[in-house]
Amino acid sequence: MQTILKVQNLKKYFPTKKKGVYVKAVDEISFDIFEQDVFALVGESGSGKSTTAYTVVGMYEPTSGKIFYKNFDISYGVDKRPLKLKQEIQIVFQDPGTSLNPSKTVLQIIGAPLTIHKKLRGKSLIEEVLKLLEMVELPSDYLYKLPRDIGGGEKQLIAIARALAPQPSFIVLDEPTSALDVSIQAKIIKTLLRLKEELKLTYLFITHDLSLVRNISNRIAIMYLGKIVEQGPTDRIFSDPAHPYTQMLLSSIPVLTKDEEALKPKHIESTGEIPSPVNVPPGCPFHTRCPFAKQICREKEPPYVEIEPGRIVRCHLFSNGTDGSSKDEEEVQTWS
Amino acid sequence: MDNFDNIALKIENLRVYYKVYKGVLKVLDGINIEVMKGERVALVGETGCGKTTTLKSVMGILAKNAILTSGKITVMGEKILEVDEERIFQKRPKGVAMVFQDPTAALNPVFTIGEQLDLVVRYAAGVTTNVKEHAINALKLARLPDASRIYTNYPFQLSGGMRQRVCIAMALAANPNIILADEPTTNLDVTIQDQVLKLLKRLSTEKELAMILVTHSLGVARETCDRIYVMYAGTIVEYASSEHIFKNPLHPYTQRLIASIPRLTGEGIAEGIKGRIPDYLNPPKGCRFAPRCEFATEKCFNSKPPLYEVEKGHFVACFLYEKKSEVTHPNADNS
Amino acid sequence: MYNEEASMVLLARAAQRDRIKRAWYRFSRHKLSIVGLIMVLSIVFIAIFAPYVAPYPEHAGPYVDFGSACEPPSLAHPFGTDAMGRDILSRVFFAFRDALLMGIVVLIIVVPIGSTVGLIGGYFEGKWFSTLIMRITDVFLAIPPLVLALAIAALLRPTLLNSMMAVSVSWWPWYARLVYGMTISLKNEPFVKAAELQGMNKFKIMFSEILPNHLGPILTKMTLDMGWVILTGASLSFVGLGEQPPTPALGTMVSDGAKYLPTYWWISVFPALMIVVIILAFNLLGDGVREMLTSGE
Repeated sequence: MQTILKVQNLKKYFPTKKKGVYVKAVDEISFDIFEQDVFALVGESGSGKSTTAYTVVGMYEPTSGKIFYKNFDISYGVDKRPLKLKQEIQIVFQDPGTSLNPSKTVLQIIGAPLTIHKKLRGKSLIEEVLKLLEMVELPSDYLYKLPRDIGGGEKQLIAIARALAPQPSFIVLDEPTSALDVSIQAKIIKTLLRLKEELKLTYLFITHDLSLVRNISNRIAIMYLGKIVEQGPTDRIFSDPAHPYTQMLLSSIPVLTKDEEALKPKHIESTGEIPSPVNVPPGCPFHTRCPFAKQICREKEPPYVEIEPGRIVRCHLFSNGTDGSSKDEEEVQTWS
Repeated sequence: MDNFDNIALKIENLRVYYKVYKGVLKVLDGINIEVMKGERVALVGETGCGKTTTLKSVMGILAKNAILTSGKITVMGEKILEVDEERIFQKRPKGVAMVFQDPTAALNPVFTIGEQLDLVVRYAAGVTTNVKEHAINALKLARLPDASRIYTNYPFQLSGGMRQRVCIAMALAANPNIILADEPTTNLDVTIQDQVLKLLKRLSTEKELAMILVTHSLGVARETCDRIYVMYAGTIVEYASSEHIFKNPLHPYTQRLIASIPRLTGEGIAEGIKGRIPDYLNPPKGCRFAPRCEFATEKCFNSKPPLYEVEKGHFVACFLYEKKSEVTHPNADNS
Repeated sequence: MYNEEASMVLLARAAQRDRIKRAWYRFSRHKLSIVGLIMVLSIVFIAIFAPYVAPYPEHAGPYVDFGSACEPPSLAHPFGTDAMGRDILSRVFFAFRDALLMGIVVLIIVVPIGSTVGLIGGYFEGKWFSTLIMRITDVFLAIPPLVLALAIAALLRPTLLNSMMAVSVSWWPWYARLVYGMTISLKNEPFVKAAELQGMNKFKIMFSEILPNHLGPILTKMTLDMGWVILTGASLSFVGLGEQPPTPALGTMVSDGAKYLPTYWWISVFPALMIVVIILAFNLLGDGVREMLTSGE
């Protein structure tokens, strides 16, 4: 297992209008993504999952912390990244309605990265675009269509084709199916998984949909208010969710069968709402909604605890010692 | 059908078309829905299947270019819409409240919650004394913490989940018998969705409110509602109790739709459904799902399937079930 | 291979045709835009073929015939004659030429300058040079265009070219503002981000990714502005700062005729009416263009 992307103590704060007050969108997170894995970053709105994705692709520059791509420090914005890196790391956005330029034809949209990275033009450009269309199973007569003449799912396939065009090895998928119907979602996900095998890709999959993640990812990190509260192998997290927030998320999912019902934690019910990332509660940020919150949760930040190999939980319920925050640093270093 | 007193809402043979520059979009193609008093019914379908148009017809808030070509709607025994050859009879229904998908757009940003709620109490419920008390009570019913503070807040001061609760409170303030909820949780996070759905469920039980929940999520429908109507391209393809629909989905569309949904149990991802919904300008002459259906025969393309009652209360519009003896159940979801 | 290529070309053409057809559909939905289009086409036709359509083409020049001075409208002179005995209709037809030339030249100067300033200002919003150019734009916007044009035209020699310059100087900031606003709202759209992440250069992003999406509003504004630019040009010539006699200009004709009001009302009323007609025509057309170019069914 070769590490392709390594995120270390990543922080991304955004200034607000008030001086000295920051939106702590991403606050000290660390994770590794192995080659040809599907790593899922799960969270609700305001959890910082998209900010993390955008920082990885270079749309934002990290406030502090490091991001390594194949042992190459990429902790800076896209303007400072070499062209080769822009070719290696691609992103597919959530809403294909806004990620495709409404005034460009499919040929121009998919062709743009090809002219930038491969210097293709004219006939060879058309041929390459046709190959990409075939890869995502779209007919060749889409070449001259405008985005507004194409259905939502097909638009997303075109966005995927555009991401594949420069032959990347790492693709960030930012909720690629959340704007689409389930019957279309199935097709898109199938295509993504097939392409991953064919082209040996690695995915960072951003989503809020745990049922979807269950079926496609190898490892998961669950985010809450800019922090990763739990991460580990997918099947372990679903069979035995450790962090109360993970349990709450799982218990909230509407499901279809009794078997699924059985997987939902019973002893926890969704209460409260995610606080604003401008005013992150002290201690464990989840304590305002946590049914198991103790005094210590309101005062001290919980440490990262490795409860199983490769499985890290950030919760006082799993820490034996009481001195959370001081241990924090050490824990981070032992596993990152 | 035998007991008219128990019916809260009845939609019969509703056809709604839209006039656009390319021609006429034949969207709703004869919708029949029946909701009992105090019953929760889900209307499930994908984008563009006409779910919202159905609700809008009940509320009488269809867009200007809509054409009603047939249909009759009755609310609590009172006729609110009837289309016959000569004229269209239409009036605003009483006792029906609607909760919209986007609570941010449903609330006026320049008035406080209280000001907006007072209007509903005054004009929709007809209460003239102790208006504020009624309003705050409605907020409390929607389980909003600190109702009297929220009464003085502006919409932007509230989170998305709270705004949707306010919208529910507003619907309740009108003292309705029926609530129409149009994708009320689509814009909300899953933990908040859970809370809002539970709230709607509890309210409908406590106040014996009939409810139509329009949603694209079968999971939401199953966990919230007693019965489910599955809609495809402006037609009702199947309806039954929530239990039956999942135990024994009959219509090929329902089967494929259920199979498309990723499961917590992790069985992988299904194929989805090939093709896309038909062009409403020239919808298929027969069954609207026929072009995408693997079991389609010539008959399916030529005539519209009627509703067959396969089990008690379980109806399906599909020729596969024409003769019960020949009914096939191609791999029904075994749960 | 040849076949495939040929079919690709056919495809591209079919897509293009379909797009034009749809645009025409949206445009022709409103009867008034058709009326506007016909009016504009007629004006353009008359301007181009003025020597052939005007009943007395020689009256457009230094022609004097005091014998038939100040004749009221009649079949021979539908708009009457002026104090020099010249046929007003013929002079109006010739005046269309300079009026349209004014509009076209001003827009050709103003639109590229304004759009470029707006694009740069919007795309680099927050940078010092963006702030600088947008504040300069604001300074220009603060002065009423007619006043600014008058001031500039008064400084220069009164010729058609100089009045065009004067109107242009007062007109470009409107395009800068329009494009600035639209660019700010577009520059954070995912498709622009996608282009940036691919490593497309900023110049290309501005002009090839962002600008084409502004064409609708720009074109609409251009059509509507044609009328207003012509009006401003007429105002300049009204106070004597435009084209000099004997070349006919609508503004000059109105101001000349004003001396004879109300007795010989037709001398100024008909040219004034023609200014109104031009503005109306371009406004109706502009509404149609807006319908046509704003996407959506």
